[in-house]
Amino acid sequence: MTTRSAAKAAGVVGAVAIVLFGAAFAWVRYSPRRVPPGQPPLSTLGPGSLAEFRDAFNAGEGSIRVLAMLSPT
Amino acid sequence: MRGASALDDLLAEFPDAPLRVQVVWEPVLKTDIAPPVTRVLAALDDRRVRQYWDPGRVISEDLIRSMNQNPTAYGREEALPPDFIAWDVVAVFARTVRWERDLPPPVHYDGPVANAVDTTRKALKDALAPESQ
Repeated sequence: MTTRSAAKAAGVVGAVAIVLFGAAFAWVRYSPRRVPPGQPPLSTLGPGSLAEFRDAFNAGEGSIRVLAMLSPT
Repeated sequence: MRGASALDDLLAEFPDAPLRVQVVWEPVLKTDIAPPVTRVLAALDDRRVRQYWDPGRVISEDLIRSMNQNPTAYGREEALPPDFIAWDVVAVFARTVRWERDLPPPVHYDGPVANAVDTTRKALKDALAPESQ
């Protein structure tokens, strides 16, 4: 293999790797999120969401409440 | 992910119990660049679960603020650092408590979640016992 063809092959491999990485990143970042059937849709919280979160907690009064804090990965 | 699966398995042990479960996903690790994907959300398939994505860690921040207002009420001798992240933890609350300004003290909390199954199971059984109602 000549130096030129080796460089060309490396370029193709690099380009493919970039495309694959970009596709994976886009999928992780932007793919739709679906919760299992029967659950409310995934809620995204922001600075103004605390009251809403507390209300959901308090709406369960009379039930045992469980709160779990997790990270996605 | 292990924590979510462990929690889901635990909930399945109490299929008819009156439980309300709030699961907050928050970015902690460098790989947490986005909300949990569907496959991760599916780890918690109990219908009593409601799942949240908290990119700004609003809930964690408020939990730490509440605890630091009165650490002893939450079973702690000292306040936590203000930038502490409440993460990989599960808490159980009695039927009657309400969350007003500060988080009500839980009857139990423990972590990491995957290792807290036994203690959380006991807390749920105790909380569901007739004498605790």
